[in-house]
Amino acid sequence: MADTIEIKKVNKFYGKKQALYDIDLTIGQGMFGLLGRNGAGKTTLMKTLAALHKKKSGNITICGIPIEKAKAIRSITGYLPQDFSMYPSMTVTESLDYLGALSGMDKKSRTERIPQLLKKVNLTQQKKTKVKALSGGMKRRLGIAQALLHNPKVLIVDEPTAGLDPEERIRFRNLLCEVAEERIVILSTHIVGDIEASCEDLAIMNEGRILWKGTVSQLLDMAKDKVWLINTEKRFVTAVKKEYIVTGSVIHGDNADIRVISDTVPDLQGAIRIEPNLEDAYMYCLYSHGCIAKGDEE
Amino acid sequence: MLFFKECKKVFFSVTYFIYLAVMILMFISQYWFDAKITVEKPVEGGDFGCTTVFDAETIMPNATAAFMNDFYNGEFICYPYGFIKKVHPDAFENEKLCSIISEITGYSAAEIEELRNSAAVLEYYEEFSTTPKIQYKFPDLKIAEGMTYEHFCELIDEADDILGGGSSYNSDGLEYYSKEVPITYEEALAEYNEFAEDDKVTGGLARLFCDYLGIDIVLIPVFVAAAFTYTDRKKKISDIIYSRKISSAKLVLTRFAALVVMMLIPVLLMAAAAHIQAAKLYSGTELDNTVFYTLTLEWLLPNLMAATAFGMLITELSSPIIAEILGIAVWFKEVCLGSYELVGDISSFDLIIRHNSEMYRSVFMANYSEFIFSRCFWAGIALVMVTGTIAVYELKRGGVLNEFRLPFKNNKIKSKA
Repeated sequence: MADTIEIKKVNKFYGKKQALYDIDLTIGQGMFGLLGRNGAGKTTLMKTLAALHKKKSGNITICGIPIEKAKAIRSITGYLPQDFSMYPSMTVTESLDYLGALSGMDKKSRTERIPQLLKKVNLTQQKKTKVKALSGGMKRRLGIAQALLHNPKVLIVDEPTAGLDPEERIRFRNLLCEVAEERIVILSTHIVGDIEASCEDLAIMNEGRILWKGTVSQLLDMAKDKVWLINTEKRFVTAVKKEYIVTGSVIHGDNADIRVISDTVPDLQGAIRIEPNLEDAYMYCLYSHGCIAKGDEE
Repeated sequence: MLFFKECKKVFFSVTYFIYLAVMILMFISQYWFDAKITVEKPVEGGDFGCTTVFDAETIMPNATAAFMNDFYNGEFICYPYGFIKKVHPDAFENEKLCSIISEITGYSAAEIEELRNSAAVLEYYEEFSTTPKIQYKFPDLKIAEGMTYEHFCELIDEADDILGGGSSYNSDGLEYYSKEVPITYEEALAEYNEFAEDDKVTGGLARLFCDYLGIDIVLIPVFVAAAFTYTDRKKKISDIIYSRKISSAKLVLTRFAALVVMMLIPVLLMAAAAHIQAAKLYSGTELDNTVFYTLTLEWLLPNLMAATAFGMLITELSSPIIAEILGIAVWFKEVCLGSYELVGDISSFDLIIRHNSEMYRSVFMANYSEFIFSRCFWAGIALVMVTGTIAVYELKRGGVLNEFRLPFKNNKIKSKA
C-alpha cells in the first residue's frame, strides 16, 4: 500500500459556489503544511480528505485507497477538526473509550491504547477529569489523542494551534512532529510559525487554489533578495506602508525598523537587504501571485 | 459495548429526567388513583347503573330535540380543533339549518317557529353566569314519515358542516342520544366475571394502564429523541463522530435501540408497580402475572418506537424544534381531534389506542385483530423512519446533504475555509 496521498484535479462546490479549483498535490510521509488565509479553502480540503465532504470532480487516493471508499478511508485516517469538542460530562478516558468503540476497537485494544496515548499527550493526570473542566490546550491534546486512537496512517489536523498560548503551541507542535515520524500528518494553519517550526513540505492556498507547493527552503529561496530592512523616522511608517508590502515594523523612540518586500531596491535611504524568514516568503508568494497589493495594509 | 455507552448517554441527559418526571406524574395522577377503586362483585338487588343501546327510533328524536334547542338559542357548542367554540350561525346559515330541521321533522319553517312558542321551557343558570338560559323541551317531537337513519345521518352531518365541524351533531357522535337502559344483575355479573375470570383482574387493569400511558408515550419520547439526536450538532461533535469507522446503520440503530430501551424500562417498572398494587387490592383472587408486561410491549412499545424514530428522523433532517412542533401537532390530532370513543376505540391505523376502562373485555377483544394490525403497522412505520434516519445520516456524513434550517439569526450556514 502506497504511503502517499495523491490529489489530482479536485474541484469542490458548495451549491453554485466553487470552493476548490483543480487541486493537485502529492503528500508523502512526515509533516505537510497547508498554509493560507482564513477562507482560503483549507478546511474544505481537509474535510474532503477526511471523507466528510464530497468532491465534484478529480481523484483522491489515500495510501492507495480511493476516497470514495469512505469506510476504508475512515479506518486509516485520524481527524482533528478546527473546533474540537466532546461530550462535556464525559471524562477524558470515557471520551476516548467511546470514540474507540466508534472506531471499531475492541475493549482489550482500547484498554491498552488509551493509557499509552494519554501518556503521550501528557493527560494521564487528567484521565478522570471531565471534558468541560479541561483547558483549551488540554482539549486540543485530547483531540490529538482521539485522532491517534485507532493508530491511523494519516492524521489530518485543522488549525490546531489557534487560540493556544505560546507554551501550549510549542508543546502541541512538538507532539505533532513526534507522531509524524511514522505517518502522514497534514497540518492546516494560517499561522506561519507553526509551519516554520514543524514542516518541511508545504502548499499555500488562496481562494480555493494551490498558489505554490514545495519545501520550506524553496519558498525561502523564492523570496531571497526581495526582503529589505529600512531604518527611518517613525513619521514615515505610514508612507512606507502605502508604497511597499510591509511584513513588520518595530518602533524605537522616534525611529522605526521596517521590513518590506520589494523586487527591486526600495527607493528609500538606508535600505539594506536581509535574509527572508518564512513569513516574508509567504507574503512574497501572495504578493507575486497578485493576492495582495502594495498599500493593502492601509 | 457501544449500546451500553449510548444508554448511559441517554440516562444522563436532561430530557430523560423530564421524561421520567412526566411519565411518573401521569402514572400516579391518572392510573394509580383510578385503579385504587376496586371492582366489586355485584350483589343481587343493587343498582348497577345504566347502559346505552343503539336504537335509531330513540336517537333521531333525541338528537333532533337537542339540535332544535340549540337552534332556538342561536348557539351551538363545537370542538372544531379540540377546543371549545361557541358557534352563532348567521341568518343564511340559520336558514339552511332550519331547512334541515324541516326535512327531519316534516314541519314547515313557520311550524318550526311556532313550535318554539309551544315548547316546554326550562330556565336555568350556567355556573358563574347571571344571565338565564332557556332549554326547550319537545316531549312529543315526531320525525318525518319515511325518514331512514342513514338519511338522518346525512342531514345531521350536513348540519355539522354548516357549523364548521366538531359539533355533537354528526353521525359519529349520535350514540350519545341513544336509549339508556338499566343494567341488570345478570349483565353486571357477566361483566364482572369477564373481569375476574377471563381477564383475571390484571388483564383489565393492564388495558387501563396502557390506555393512560399510551397518550403520553407518543409525545414525550419525541422530545427525548430529538434532544439526544441534536446533541452532536449542538456540542459540535458531529465531525468527530462522522470521521469514525462505524457504519451509519450501526450507529443509528444502536442509538435508536438505546433510546427505546431506556424509555421502556421505566414504563415496565411502572407496570410492575401497577401489578403489585393489583396484587394487594385483589389479594385472594387469581391474577394473570404476565399481562402487565406483555401488554406493555404489545401496546406501548410500537408507540414508543414510532415517537422515537420520528424525533430522530425529523431532527436529522432539520432541527429538534421542528421535530417537537410536529410531534405536538401529531399528538394533538390524535388526542384532541380523534374519535369520541374512549372504550374500544381501535382501528387498523390508529397510533393511539383508547380503552379507558378495566371492564368491557369483550369490546376490546372484538377489535383485537385491528389492535394487532395497528401495533404491527406502527412498529413497521418506526422501522421505516429509522431506515430514513440512517439514509439522512449517511448523506450528511458524506457532506452530500445539509439539514433544513429554520431562518433564525444564529442558523446562518457558516462556511469555513
